[in-house]
Amino acid sequence: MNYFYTPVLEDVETYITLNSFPPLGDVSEHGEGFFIYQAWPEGHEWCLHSRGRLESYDSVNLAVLEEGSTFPTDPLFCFLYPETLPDRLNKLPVAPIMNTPVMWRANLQFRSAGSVTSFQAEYPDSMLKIPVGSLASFSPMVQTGEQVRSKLIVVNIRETPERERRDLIVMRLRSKERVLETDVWTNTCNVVDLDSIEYSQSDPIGVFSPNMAGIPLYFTLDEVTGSMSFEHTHPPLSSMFFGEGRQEMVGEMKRYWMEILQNAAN
Amino acid sequence: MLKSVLRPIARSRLGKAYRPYLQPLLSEATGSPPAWFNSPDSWHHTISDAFFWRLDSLESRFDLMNMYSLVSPSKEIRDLVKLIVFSKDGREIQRLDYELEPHETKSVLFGDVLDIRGMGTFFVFHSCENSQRNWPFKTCLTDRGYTAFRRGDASDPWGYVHGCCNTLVLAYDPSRDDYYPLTHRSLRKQVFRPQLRFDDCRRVEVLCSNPLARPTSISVRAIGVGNEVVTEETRRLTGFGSDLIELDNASGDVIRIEVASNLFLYRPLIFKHYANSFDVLHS
Repeated sequence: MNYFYTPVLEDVETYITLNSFPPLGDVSEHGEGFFIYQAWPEGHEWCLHSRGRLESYDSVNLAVLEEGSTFPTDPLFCFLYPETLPDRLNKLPVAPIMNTPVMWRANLQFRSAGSVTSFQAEYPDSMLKIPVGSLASFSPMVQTGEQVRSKLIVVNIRETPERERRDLIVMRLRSKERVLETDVWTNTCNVVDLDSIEYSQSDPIGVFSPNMAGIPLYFTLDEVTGSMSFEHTHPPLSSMFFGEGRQEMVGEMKRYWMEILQNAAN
Repeated sequence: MLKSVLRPIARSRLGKAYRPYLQPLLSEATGSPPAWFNSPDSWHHTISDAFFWRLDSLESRFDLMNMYSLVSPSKEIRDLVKLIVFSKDGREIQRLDYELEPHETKSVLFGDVLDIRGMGTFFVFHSCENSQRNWPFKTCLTDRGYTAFRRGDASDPWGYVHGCCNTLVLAYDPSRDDYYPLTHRSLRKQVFRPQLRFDDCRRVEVLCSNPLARPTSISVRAIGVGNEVVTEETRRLTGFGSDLIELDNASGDVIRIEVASNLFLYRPLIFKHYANSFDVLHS
């Protein structure tokens, strides 16, 4: 089962396309459709709002904010579920559904006055159970310029609704200079402004959290033309390594970087 | 159990010779291609996804990163990158060498390095000096990195997309300066359904590539609101060849598409064109 996230940004509208068919394999193996839910944490409970039902083979492009809606815009997550659910839950559902060889995704889309940008998003429910976790993201996708706005979005979703403070550090990879340190929160689409960071190809940046797992997304908006770019980085496990030793490899690599972070702080 | 018996056979000289026949059979039996069966010949070989370049109404760019620095940040390792470019008809047309200082990132602008226009694929392989000492790990380095596209006449931000189409296609042996394919044909046709809608854009481009050394066919079906097939187009691609299938959607009739091929987990790259902009995404 996968969750989908819907960050809300200034100057753009957020849409999401949800699909009631698998990317591969027999459609009928996945039941006769799904109910669409939006979820947000409130104290010790998850609040749920139903956005209708998708029959088999259907898809829908939803504006994330329903007209007249009164619930919070952030954090706000989406998921599909085969049964009706109550308005409040202690934990988000984790279920063996929507399992396919290619991930079951939604299309997360931002619309500006002049452009549309999107990517195929998902947050696997296996990540909801990570108690603390860590994050290392290496991306050349930070674009800067006078009229260009760059943002990093770090998404975290947990099974339980509590929002806990964690740390996010942006560090230059060669000089090990910390260029940005900020609080981030669990169960949130954290939006971090990267405009103040000068991007250098000889000393690029990495994004790290020693105490929160999540999905990092890189967003760019040209304020004059409205043109945009939006993409995520894969975790090192799937983007950098192939073979039986890759789990150990990623563990070792993260240990290196977390030690460097620790030393840079002292 | 199956793995412990079959893996030594698969890695033997005889096993490698019969992989193109054994892998589809094994995949059929287990339901998906077993990753270990496709392992490269050595952990010192590196692997690349198939990436697209295009120089037409769009410019293309790829950002190289020193991957050894990311893996072993405390070591000062230079990354020797080999970028191998294929034309649309599957011919290797250029090999480009880059040397990256520790932690360095470098942009390859295809308009600056290729003498031809059109489209094709490229692969990115990494190696380093003293690889026995610098790479003692039981895993291969893979590049699944970031391609970007931009309209040729614009100074817009680059539209980025990471590798995902045709994953882990070629392995590269630095000692022989040569590559070999890791993917094989599937016995049964697979139908991939990109999980997005197309009725919000006027024109769609589906970029397909062939990860196999021999020809294969790929069909793109445009599906309408009642799940009916609006159009279907099939292309025969040469080994390592690529092509672009264009769907006119001014009427908004095309809601989704299906891509049928004899390729495992095959996914094309998609460009959605709007009135004044485009969106690129891995499907």
